[in-house]
Amino acid sequence: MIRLNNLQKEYKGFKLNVTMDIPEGRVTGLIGRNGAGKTTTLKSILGLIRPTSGEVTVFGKKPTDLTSDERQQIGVALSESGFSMIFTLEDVIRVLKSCYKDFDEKDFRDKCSAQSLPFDKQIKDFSSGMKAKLRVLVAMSHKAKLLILDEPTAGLDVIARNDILEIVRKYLDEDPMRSIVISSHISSDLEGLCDDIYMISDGKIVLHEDTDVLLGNYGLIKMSSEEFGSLDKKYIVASHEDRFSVTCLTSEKQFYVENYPKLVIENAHIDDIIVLMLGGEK
Amino acid sequence: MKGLFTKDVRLILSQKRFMILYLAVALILSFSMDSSFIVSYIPMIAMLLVLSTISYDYNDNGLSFIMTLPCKPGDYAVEKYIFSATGVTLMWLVSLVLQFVSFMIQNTEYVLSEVILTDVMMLPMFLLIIAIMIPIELRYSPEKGRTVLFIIFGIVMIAVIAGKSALEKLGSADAVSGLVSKLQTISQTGLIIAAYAVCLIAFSISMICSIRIMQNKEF
Repeated sequence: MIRLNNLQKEYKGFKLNVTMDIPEGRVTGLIGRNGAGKTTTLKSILGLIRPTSGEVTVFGKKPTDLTSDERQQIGVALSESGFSMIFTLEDVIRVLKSCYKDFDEKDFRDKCSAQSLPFDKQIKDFSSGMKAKLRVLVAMSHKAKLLILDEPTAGLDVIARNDILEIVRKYLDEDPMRSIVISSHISSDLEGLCDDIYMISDGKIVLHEDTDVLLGNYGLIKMSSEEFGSLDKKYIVASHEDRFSVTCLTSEKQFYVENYPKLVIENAHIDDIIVLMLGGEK
Repeated sequence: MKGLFTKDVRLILSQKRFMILYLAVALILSFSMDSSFIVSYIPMIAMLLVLSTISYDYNDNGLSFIMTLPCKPGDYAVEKYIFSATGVTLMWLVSLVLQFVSFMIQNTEYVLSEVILTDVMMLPMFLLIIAIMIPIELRYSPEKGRTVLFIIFGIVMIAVIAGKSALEKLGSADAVSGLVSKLQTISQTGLIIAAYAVCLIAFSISMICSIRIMQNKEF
């Protein structure tokens, strides 16, 4: 569905270089620190910026070559960008109705009401959570096959974040063939939602793995420097040494459980993986 | 493109207070003073209103989102021209109606041919300003665009003043007045056709430039 082949984009002091393949019916997460290149990657997919080199295809075409009908199949929620702040929900509904032939007004109104979004207030008077929910609901308002969500939960409290993730889950339940590309710097948001995760750092993909594999096979091993010295490092992905101990990230937890029964081996969460992948030695 | 039109119409309607004030002032002016003023006032404010939609699009980084709607960057540029030209023309027609209603109420005596010439020449003037403003605002953003426009007008003013004084020093003032009197001999219809032709050419060139600007822009 989406293919990024050696996509490069250069800005002053920043270079993005990514290769990604996102098939139909998958929820793909992009995770990385602020400024890692997540938004640049998503904007390239949407044709909002031109790559310096490399190739991007969406539905088999360059994003800029997509027809209006094909663009109707894409729903987008960008961080800090949306309809004019002077619009009310009624204005938004009128515009969506004119833009998308599959816009379901009743469903959209119901979903907005369920999230307690006021229809008569200007968007500028909405809370941050309300604005974020509106952006996501707008993206889903026309039954798009592909959703691109850029940091939909950034800057929100845990309840608002859960509300948004729940909206996304329900959207997926309606049609399992829908695809979502979602970026976030909050790993817990992606853990329970994504089929696979790309980890991006300084404009490069440093890890791509199925979420099940990340959570099931990856593990943290804590040991002394001496133990680390004698450890078989075949499946060690990254490590970090401090004054008292060494923490390693392994992609084959079971290997070390069986062969090193005395070592402390824990399940790895995505946050742990990020800390070690982006902060440790590889 | 239908969505873009709806967006712009809703943006204009969202400025309710300004709209009410604008219409109230228009009505007061129509019936209290020289009603010929209304033919420049109403389209001018309409022009500012339609161009304000570009500012609203740029505010809060909104253009990035607009470009994810099912329209292409070139469509956005074309829509701005159609929307602006339609808006200004409609309000110009309204101003004509108001002017003649005012003439009747105030029993103003007027020479129809003179009134028509002034009124009809007003529209291409505003369309010409739109043709200058849109590409500048799209290229430099509305805020910077206004600064660029002031600079351009400043340069033009200086060039005109400098040119005039240079001609006077060279003793060519007669040539200038000769040119003016030659222009006066052109028929009224000829002047109107020439003004609209210039406007159409400027509008077309401007639209082509704006489409290219949008196609080369990153959002």
